[in-house]
Amino acid sequence: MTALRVSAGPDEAVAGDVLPVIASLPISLVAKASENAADLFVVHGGPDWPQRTAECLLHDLRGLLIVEPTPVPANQVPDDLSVPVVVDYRFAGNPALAAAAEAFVGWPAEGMIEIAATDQQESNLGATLLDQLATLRRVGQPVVDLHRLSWNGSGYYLRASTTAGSFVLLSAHVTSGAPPSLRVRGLAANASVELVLPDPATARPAVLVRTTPSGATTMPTLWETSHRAGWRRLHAAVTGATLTTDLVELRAELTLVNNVLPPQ
Amino acid sequence: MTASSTLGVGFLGSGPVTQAIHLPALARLTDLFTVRAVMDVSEATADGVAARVGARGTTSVDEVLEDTEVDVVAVCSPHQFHAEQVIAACRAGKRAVLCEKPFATTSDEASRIAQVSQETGVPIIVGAMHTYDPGWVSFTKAWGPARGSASHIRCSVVLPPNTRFEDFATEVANRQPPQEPSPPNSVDDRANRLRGGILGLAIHDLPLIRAFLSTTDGIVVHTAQALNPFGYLVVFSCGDQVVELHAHMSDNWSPNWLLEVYADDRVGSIKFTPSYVQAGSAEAAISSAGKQVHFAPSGRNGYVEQWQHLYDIAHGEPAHFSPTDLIADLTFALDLSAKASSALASSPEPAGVR
Repeated sequence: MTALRVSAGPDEAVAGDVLPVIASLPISLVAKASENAADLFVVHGGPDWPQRTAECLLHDLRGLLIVEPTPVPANQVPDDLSVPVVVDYRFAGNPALAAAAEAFVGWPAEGMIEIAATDQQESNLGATLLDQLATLRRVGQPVVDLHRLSWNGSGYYLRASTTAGSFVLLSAHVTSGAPPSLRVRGLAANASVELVLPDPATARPAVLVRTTPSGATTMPTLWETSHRAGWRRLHAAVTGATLTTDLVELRAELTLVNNVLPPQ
Repeated sequence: MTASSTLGVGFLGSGPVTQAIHLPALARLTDLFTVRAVMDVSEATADGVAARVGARGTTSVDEVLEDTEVDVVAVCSPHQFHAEQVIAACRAGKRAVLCEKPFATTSDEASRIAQVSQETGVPIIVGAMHTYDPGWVSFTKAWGPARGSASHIRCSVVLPPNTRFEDFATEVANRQPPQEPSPPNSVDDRANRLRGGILGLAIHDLPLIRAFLSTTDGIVVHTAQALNPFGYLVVFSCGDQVVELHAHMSDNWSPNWLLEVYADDRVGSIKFTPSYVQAGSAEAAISSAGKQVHFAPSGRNGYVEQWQHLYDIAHGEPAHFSPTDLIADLTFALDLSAKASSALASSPEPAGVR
């Protein structure tokens, strides 16, 4: 297998731990200093990420990874889906989400779901909310009807419901007292699911427990960061010649998020 | 004072709370207390519970209050009788009164109780066991000044039905048959369930939450839901501080009773044991940049500590909480329950909560 060549500028290399991730996938990926003849591009998810993405798509690339996108108007999301594009979220990319999705199969409409993030920077809140929506989608509980309850520099509370009808409470807490993390918990009459996703700065594994009246099952640990799992997914899409739906889903979630962001 | 060196205890009401909480706690404090009288509207319950501890059973409140061997009274009757019985115990000249929460159903009742307590000099404590829990006490000492120090406060209670834990604590006599959970049949029904949840369950932690709030004036309820089969979810603000309360009681075996406090530079957590069980105190932790301080559980829980405190104040020690504190706690709980149930009744029913 020939390694795909990754072009990443200094900003991109830092934001998504790109170089350590590439180093951990040496057969699949190789870092390349310039954009010329690169197979894969990285875009940091700052406010200009749609423009940067559109620029990258003008190159003869084979795939693109967008790292931790911040909210932008949904209509700015590029329509060009000629190559695989993977959105690399801090939490929603965690490989434990596949097992979490299985744990949530058949989740009753009467159950509730809470998703709470701890973050260290107020400026990340918009990206955190996008990450939460993507996490819920990837565990099979996409939300609709997002409403802001409170939002200030200390975090936010929002409510929503899933497409299946479950009540969802979303929150983010800004503090330097704890590392970033995301907790997803479902509570129903006969079961609960709790998923705690760690800071993706390390490969510390998520903890996933499903509890029923007869006991609790802890799912196997996966010692892989969200970022590495995202690169593996992009590599698989490129080499498998399959397209991704990340941008389509991101556009839909941006529509929800932009309706609840507080006025600047 | 009874002939021995212990204080004589009289119970008004001898249902599961008396049987599964207070008697097991007192069994750990036999050097301080002796149960002398047990009253219940059911003669069989009163006699049966009294016989367990060598006390007299009765169906008469007056008989307990007139009993000279009864030094302190524990009011464990249904909520609507609390105020009347606490006042009667004070007027009977008892040395101290422990009243289960809520100690009144209105602020006016609470004020009357405080007034009578002051007139008679009989100290009153409310059975809010978490406020006495050694885990909470250690936490607050380490945290420092609490008022206004947190931006977000979260209290999450996930519990199996009470009977599971009552049965770990004792063998309950004459228990009422459990009611099959039924879905709420109207908005009013849901609002009543929400009110009951706040005054019956959230009230355990509202004094703790109030300790962190700069003000309890101007509560703004952002969302209020009654959850199935039993529970609630309320998000409200007091000024810039936001509080999240939720509780869910289900067949899930795994209990989780957690109070979390988020500040700019710290995160605190207090994990309580379920009610009823004699499993020691809460475990607490405070995290700050690069450091976590953990408070290991104590062997004594909040129930034992509140009885110890009752003994101390009956012997002239100052009360941890003044009548003003108790009234403020109750007013906060009543105000929140009224505003939350009103918010529920006036908001469209969200999907999933029906």
